[in-house]
Amino acid sequence: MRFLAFVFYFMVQSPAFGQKVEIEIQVDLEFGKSKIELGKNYAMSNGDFVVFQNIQFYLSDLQFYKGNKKVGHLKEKALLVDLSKKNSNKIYLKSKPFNRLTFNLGLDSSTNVSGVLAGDLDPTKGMYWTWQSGYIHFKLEGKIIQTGGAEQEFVYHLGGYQKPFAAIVALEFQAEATSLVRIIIPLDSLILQNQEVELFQIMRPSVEAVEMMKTIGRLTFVTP
Amino acid sequence: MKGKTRFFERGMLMLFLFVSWSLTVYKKFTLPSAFPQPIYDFKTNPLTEDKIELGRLLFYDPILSSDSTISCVSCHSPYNAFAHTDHKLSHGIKDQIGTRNAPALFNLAWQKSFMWDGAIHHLDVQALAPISNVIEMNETLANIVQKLKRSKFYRQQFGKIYNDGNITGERILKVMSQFQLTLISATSKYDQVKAGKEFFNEQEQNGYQLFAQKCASCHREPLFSTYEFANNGLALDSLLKDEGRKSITERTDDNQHFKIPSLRNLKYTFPYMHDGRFSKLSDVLKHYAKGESVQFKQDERLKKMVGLTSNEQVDIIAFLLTLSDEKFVFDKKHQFPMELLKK
Repeated sequence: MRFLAFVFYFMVQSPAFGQKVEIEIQVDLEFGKSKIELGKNYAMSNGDFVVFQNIQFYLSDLQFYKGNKKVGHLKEKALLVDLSKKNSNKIYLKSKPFNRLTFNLGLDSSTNVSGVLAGDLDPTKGMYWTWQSGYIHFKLEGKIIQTGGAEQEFVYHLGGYQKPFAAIVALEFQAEATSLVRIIIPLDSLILQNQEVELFQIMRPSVEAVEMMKTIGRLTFVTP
Repeated sequence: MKGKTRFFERGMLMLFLFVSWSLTVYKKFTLPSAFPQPIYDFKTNPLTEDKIELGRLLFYDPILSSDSTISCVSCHSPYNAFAHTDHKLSHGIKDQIGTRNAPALFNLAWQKSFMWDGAIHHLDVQALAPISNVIEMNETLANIVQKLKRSKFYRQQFGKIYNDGNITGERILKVMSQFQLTLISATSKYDQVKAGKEFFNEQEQNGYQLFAQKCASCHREPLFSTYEFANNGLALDSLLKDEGRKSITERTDDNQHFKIPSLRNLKYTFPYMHDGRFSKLSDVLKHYAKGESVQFKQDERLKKMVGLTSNEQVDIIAFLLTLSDEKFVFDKKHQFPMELLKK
């Protein structure tokens, strides 16, 4: 009898039975398959090096699905991933088993027009434009050091919530509720492509900002 | 039966609490009876007396600028209906001159965008623009938070309002909104006439009729603006080259469109226009009466103004001066907070 009770306990605790499990979601940016750290040199495929000096971006409306049924969501509207702040890329939560997750890179228009907000959305975080209203979805700053030693700085402040420059990107991935779910954004091809077309500055809502956010979205993938 | 009574009592208590809360929200915000419903959502930032006062302290304190020389009131003086005079263009730290004439601040709860080009879409985030502009205050909100945290005076002020005593960017901006929301101008002679308590003289009455025919499509009563954007036919300043709304929307149609200002308190808010090019109201009326630029041929609203006689211009000005709200301009509740001297 005790044995049966023991088996029953483990059954109901198992994810297959629909109980909540502890999950860590980690958001990582990579270059050359290495995790990006600010201030470190990364070799590009053309022989140049890239150094990232600031990377901040919003991940919002994280939701979990089992089939078509929503089984959970992150309580906070948005998470600000800031590479200068340890563990800002990690989310700990309990969720029922899921096989699909959805989230946005950036913030929706409703958040953008809601006035001043608190927490990760507080304008002191440096992600709210001051020359006009609206959040920056993704900040990417650094420099490319060419083989001859010449340096080219780049500054991408990607924002915009109004058509035709609404730059938020909605993403969806198949993913099982394992103890660690990694969202990975590799930046190799983006930096190389921008260098080739000499696109080193985006600082306002624009076609370029929309396109770059789409590219970042396409590069993003999820892995256990 | 007892259960029903208890349920009823609870319901009444909830109703009482809701009514009390609503009254607190609007305690400091008397909605002028002739005004439409405000656009600002007070539920997101319910007004309280102590928050309004803290907002007033910050509005008058140059601590908001990087070298502690410029406060909001430097460009938005109460005696000028929270605009400024003496300069065509506003000036900031180290005597640097900006690119636009500081707009007057009143009846802000009825406006959905701010700045001459409408770059700012919510009052709560408006202060970020002048704070971070390198020519105006050249400061960051994050640094202001740190400066206020170092100030015993402000730690006490925030501690009086917030249980945790925490000073955040969100709280700073919201209390500043609270003070600015109380800047309501609705007690001019015009308002008294509309309320049946005063009368226009003959010249003012004639001016009012002309105004209704010629000006009201852009400067709609009772706020005396639609707060939309328009090109009013001013020639482009060759030095400033200000494209106005186009610089925000990037739409050619918005070139040299600027936010239509309210005509209330013109007596106090000279010089006029986004670049302060006219120092007198008579110059403004002459601009419209002459109708020299191409916009006067294209825009039906401007066409109506062309050819105003000098007598008509004088009568319109006489009416416009009835929109001067002395009670608002000299209201002590809006003036320098003596508490700031205790810092």
